[in-house]
Amino acid sequence: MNRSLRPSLRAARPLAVLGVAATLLAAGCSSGGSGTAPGDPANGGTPQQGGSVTFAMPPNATPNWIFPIATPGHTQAYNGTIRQQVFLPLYVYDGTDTSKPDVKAGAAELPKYSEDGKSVTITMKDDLTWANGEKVTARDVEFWFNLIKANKEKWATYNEGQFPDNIAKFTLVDDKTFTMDLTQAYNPDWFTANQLTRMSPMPQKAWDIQEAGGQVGDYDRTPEGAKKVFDYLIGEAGKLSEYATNPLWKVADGPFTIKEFTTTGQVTLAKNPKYTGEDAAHLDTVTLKPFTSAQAELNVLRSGGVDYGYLPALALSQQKTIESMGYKVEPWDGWAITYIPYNFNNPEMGPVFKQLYIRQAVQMSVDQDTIARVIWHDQATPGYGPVPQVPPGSYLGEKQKTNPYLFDLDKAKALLTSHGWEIQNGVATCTRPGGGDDQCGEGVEQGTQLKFQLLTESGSTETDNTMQELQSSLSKIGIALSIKSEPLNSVLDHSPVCKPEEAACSWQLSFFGTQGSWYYPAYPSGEDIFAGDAGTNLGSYSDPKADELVKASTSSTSPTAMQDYSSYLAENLPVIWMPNPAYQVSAIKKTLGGVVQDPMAGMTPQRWYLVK
Amino acid sequence: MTASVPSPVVAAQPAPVVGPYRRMVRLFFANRLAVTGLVLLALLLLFCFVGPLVHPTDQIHTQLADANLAPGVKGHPLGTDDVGRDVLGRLMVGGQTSLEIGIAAGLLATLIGTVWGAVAGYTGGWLDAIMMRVVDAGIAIPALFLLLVSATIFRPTVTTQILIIGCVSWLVPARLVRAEALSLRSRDFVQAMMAMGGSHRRAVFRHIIPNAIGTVVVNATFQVADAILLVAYVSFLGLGVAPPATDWGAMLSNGISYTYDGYWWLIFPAGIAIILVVSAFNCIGDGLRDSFEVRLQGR
Amino acid sequence: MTRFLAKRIGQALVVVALVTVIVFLLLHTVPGGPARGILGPQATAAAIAAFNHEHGFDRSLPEQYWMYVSGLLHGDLGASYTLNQSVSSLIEQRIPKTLVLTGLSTLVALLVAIPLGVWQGRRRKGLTDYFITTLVFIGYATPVFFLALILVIVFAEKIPILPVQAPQAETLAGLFADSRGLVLPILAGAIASVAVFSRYMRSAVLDNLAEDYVRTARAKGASERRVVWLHIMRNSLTPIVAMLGYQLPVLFSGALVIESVFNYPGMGLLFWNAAQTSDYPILLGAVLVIAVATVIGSLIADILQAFIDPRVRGAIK
Repeated sequence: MNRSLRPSLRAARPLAVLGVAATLLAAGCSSGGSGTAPGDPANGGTPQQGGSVTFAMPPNATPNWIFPIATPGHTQAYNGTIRQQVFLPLYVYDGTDTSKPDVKAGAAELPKYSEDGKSVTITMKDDLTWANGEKVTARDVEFWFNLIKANKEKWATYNEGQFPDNIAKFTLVDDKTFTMDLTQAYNPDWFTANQLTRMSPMPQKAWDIQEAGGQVGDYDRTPEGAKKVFDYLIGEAGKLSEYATNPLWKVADGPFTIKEFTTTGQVTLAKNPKYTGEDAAHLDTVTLKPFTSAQAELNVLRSGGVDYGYLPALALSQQKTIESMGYKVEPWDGWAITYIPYNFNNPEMGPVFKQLYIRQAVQMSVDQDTIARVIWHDQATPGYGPVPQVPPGSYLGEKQKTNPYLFDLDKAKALLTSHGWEIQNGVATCTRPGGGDDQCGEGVEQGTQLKFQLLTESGSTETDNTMQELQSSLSKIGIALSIKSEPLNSVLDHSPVCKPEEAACSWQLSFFGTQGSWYYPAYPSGEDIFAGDAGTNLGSYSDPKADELVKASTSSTSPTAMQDYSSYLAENLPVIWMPNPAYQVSAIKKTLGGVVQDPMAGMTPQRWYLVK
Repeated sequence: MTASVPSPVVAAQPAPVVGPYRRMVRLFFANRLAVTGLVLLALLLLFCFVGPLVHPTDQIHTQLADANLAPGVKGHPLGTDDVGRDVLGRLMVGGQTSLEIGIAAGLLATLIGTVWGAVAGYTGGWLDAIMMRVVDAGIAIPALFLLLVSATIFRPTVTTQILIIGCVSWLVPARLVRAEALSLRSRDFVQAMMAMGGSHRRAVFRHIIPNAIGTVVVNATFQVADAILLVAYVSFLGLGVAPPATDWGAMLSNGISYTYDGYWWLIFPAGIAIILVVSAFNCIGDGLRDSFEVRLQGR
Repeated sequence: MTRFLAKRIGQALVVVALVTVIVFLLLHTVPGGPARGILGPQATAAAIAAFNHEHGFDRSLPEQYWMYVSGLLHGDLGASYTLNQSVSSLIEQRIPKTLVLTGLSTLVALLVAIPLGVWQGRRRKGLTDYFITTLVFIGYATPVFFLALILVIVFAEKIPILPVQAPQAETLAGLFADSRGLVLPILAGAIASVAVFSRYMRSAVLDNLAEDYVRTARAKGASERRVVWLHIMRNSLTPIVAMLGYQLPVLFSGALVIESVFNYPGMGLLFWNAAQTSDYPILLGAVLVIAVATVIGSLIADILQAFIDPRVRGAIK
């Protein structure tokens, strides 16, 4: 039976947060074709062609967009997953190997960068065609680029200075090839993983239209024309109920087409008979089912109603039951980090948070191993820095590989007392203000008390308990933590990037990571979260050296740039590092093969197959 | 007034001033359910507020190494919860919160409702019309919505919970008292006082409210019972008091997540405690109502 | 009677207008606004500004309210921020299901509570009265989510005869096709209501037993049965009818909890999910629909009351 009766409280998955991944992955992620090999002993059968599979989407995931350019409010994770099956992005990554794109799943061959890293040349694949018979050409990419360039502020993924601002010139070389001159040198890994993945060829010969019933032209080549074309296409994209019928969306180049797309969020993908690439679908249809709550999904799973579903973490005690019903249960690790940002601009606690020794004391009070084991039932991995801890790769710095701040309450307390804090009535109080080595630090006034306020996401017992544990250990070193829980969206509403004088800056600490705080694109650099001017640097962390290292990680070609960045932030603690929960604990029918649980939360259903 | 208590209205006797009250007390104590309720409540109060002296536990710190221990293990008579706190001790502090919020919020609601209803009923006319439309509107909005919104504005402490719950549940007493006030207004003694030039404030506070006291007191008991239940719902929806504090509703809804692990000690003690305390208040209220009805009849 | 009706309808309109003001003000004074939650943390300042502009959050509160009300007057409840649908179509899909759930559980509750209340009222202070009163108090004092849990443990786990999940069908017909799944949710809703209704009924019967007309009827030699079932019960129904009208928001709150526990895709679940995602238009729409229903409910209750109870009728004229 349904184990967690606590209703849909767990429902709100951080779609918004995943949205980050989604758009960056918009192009999507897909596997290198590895996965469960046919004839896998676990499956013990022979792969079949054809058949149908049902996949359970997370609670409240309601896909609502199909057009390859997402406007704000349309960045939910599953929009990207669905779109990349129909309209192939230029490049797709699979999080099990973040070092290079999964070429088979994308629309182009590997990019070639110039020696100086200031230009990139890309050749489209030879064998891809649109459903109307036209070849997929470089012109189709230019069409996408022109629309983005003229309408960038309406593009949900636009960040000033990044794509398309960092492209000085887009040149068509021939039918299949184009070159982009960049405004500066970039790290090729970063540029491919975090910028090129956003590009997606669109059928210019079918979509370059300014109004309903209009003629196809080269309108996108003038900014005014590009605006009109964009508005027309966005208008059509808003008609969700026509996704399965509108002739525009029939011009697909991916392994699937849309067969059903309901307003409640159910989507059925059907094998695209006109697909000409080498990554054709094995299955006839794949249905993505929406659920209002995790326990609703669990009930359906228990009745065998989905082939690929998930278990809420608390329901792990049911693993045996589920397995006996012909499923295998596997955690789906996320290419993500989980953390609690400090609001360095909070007028009361900002000066306190700016003291590194305070952040060190706090970090030493987080018993990550026990939290992961007892509270998360081993479905979370301790994290020590800005790069996802698993799977371990070449991006992890030395300092982040092992925990630089081991759980040690005595040491944590000593850090406070040696800096002029005295515990009075259980709360540390500053008795020696000033900037000296044994003093509280710059800006911390005499009599300041270490009383922190934390906003946290409601609806998850694991998260509630993690915060209680944190509160308990902090209280042992003299820090009083008061907790307020709110729905995820409210937490995000209430912890914006802010200036000290703004009323919105009253938040001090904020947690929104029940399913991971931040999902990375393949290259886990920090320009969006830890750079001083980053849009999602919620706590306004600002450190010149960190800024330098972030910049180096995106623009220098040095292979150690990421490691240096990882090591420095692991020690400098821009946030409280917390254990990173699995994306989900999946239950996959044993008769379903070819599944790769992509840590970047993408899917490659074209490679799934049924075994007999 | 009822079939089973034949002619309870020994009406014409001009009783001495204390008479009706003494009678009431006697009647109340003759009501077996009411007495049971009173005894139950006394026991629960003792358990929650004196219990921690007898069974001191650490309810501030978590003890992950000792999570989910079964009753009896390591000196925990009722086991431990999912972060290793002693459940028996937690039941005591949780009960303190539930009772404090419930009683205070119930009384607050009664207070607001009584004054609102008395003023509206006594004044009548357009003021009454406006005041009662506000009450109607308040009744028409699900309390849950108000609770959800307030929870995003205020930090959930015992005080804010009292204020919020008190402010969403004063509507029913307001209607009851207004009805009472309407009928009292036309009574001779109020009319007489008005004729002698008494102030309106005096009329409301010296005459209307004291004479509606029966309705008010009985309703207050039920309000407290309902407020305790409401506290439980609020916690169930994840909007309850912040940890390390807790209340019975929060304990119950947290325990429900572990139903299929067989951790019954996380569910039933808190659930039964809620049922006992709410029933106790309802029994007392019922007994009081019977007593007051007799007194009114006697007047 | 016409004057009475006109007056009551006028009052009802005032109440609905008040509700829109209160609900709107409350939602729109919540600090921060919904933009960041809806658009996600990666949203740029420009995207947030665009969202706020599109939904009018950059205007003054009275202006926003006026925009909302003028939409309402044209029958437009707005569109959901997250579900790509208009609020009215969402409510249209969900409301029949919630009506089925609450309607059936109220019906079951009444069928049990009315005879129970009458019976108890007549045997006041007897042992059975105490016994039933105790049961009723316990039923009343049990939080619905706890009750639902116990029902699930007993009827789906220990004696597995009923499914734990409510039917998930899109249509009402589909709902009834899987009627076994409806039993537990309806039972959970009914038990809580029985307690309330039977208490009201009991005290109403007690009051009526003392009334003159009962004595008259008895004096005239009417059989006890006739007195009880015809006279007393009819007149005792009045408070129940009056209460039903005002019971709607309470029933809705109960429905929310029950729908969540049994994953019943009704209004309650829609409302709860909207609260999680700060989907203001849905919250506003749902509260408004309930408020209007309550106001109409109490109006009908008043009129019905007039028909059932001749004394009330006199008072109205």
